[in-house]
Amino acid sequence: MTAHAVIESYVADVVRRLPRDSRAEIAAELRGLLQEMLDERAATRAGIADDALVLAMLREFGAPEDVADRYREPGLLVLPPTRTRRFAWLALGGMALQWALTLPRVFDGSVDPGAWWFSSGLGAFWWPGVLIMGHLLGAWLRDRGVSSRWSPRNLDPDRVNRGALTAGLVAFAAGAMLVATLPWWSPQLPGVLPRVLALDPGFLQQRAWVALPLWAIAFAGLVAVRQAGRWTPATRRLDVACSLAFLAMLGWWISGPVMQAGASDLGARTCLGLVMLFIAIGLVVDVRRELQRPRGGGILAGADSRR
Amino acid sequence: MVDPRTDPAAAKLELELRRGVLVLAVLSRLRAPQYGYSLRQALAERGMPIEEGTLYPLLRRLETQGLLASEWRLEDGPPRRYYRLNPAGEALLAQLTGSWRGLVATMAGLLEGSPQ
Repeated sequence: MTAHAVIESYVADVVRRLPRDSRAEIAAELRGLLQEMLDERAATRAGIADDALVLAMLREFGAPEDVADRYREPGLLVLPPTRTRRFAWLALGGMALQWALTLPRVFDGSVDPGAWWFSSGLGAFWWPGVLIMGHLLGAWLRDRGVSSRWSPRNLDPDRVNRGALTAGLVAFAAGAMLVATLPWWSPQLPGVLPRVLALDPGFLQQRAWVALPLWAIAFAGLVAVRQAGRWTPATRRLDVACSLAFLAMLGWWISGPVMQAGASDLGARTCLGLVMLFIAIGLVVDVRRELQRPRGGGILAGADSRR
Repeated sequence: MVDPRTDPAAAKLELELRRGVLVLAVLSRLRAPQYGYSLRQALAERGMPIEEGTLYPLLRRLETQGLLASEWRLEDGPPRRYYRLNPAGEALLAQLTGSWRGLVATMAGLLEGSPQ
């Protein structure tokens, strides 16, 4: 291995990461500059340019990918450092949840580990993929100067938008009605849909009913919030209690079969698991906000006390 | 007293400070044609040593941005690519020089007024 060969290898490693049309010129220039650097360093060591000296010089110059990056203009930053942590938590959390929901079938022997890996195991990577595509779209929009203008966060977190809450309540009632009446309307659907949407009889008899009183309580709480136009300590506590109850109920639901068809059951339980994740995240955010809220001071506290 | 030679955090901050003036330092030495190695030596002799791995790519980027002109020259040694300011580079140098002098005056005022 000669010094020349090592430099050639290094230069090739740098320029292969650069645009094709600039490679030859940059390679010629970099080769000459590195040779001159080496000659200067060798001169201080009685003219000996051994392997160790060449390698030390090139390592000091930088890793080929870093040097190639320096030749390029700063490009599109897909994941800014401030969002890396949140991305990692969301990506890993989503995958862990999917695996947690599907792996028990491997441990109870109903699914082969290899089959699991090539279906649900690898399939869980759809979630980081979706997150990355979202970030890519965001970066592309930012690059084109499209970004949301900053505006102050809701300075009174207890106040609610009555119009939006009314729309939410209507959607809530419609959704609950649709799910609650599923056993009656799904058999009327064409083709395979009745079999796909058929609920497990054990689930219907033992576990499904809990949803009805819980939905009714949660709905009543939200109606009270809408009427008052704001959250009160009592409705906040009711909301937390409902979230905890929903978590317990969903946990109970996914502990056994929910649908009759195997694929539908897996899909339904995965979705319910995701709903549990979102409820848990919302609960943590709400509790943290309540704990961090200043007690007995500040402008909003004064405004509250006047109401 | 924090010594940048021994304190990594201070050394990082000093590096950031120097990085901010890198382009101005390079442009200032390119009124006359220079190639990468000679430019590095010219800067080092005047107390502004810059790592080769940073300087050489920077020259190409400045040329791509339309601030430098370059040409290959064959002299007594191997072929070398010489860079010099073009009119856009000269205009930018004048502008950055004005900004730098203003900044130096502002900083001098701030530092002189700082509590001892």
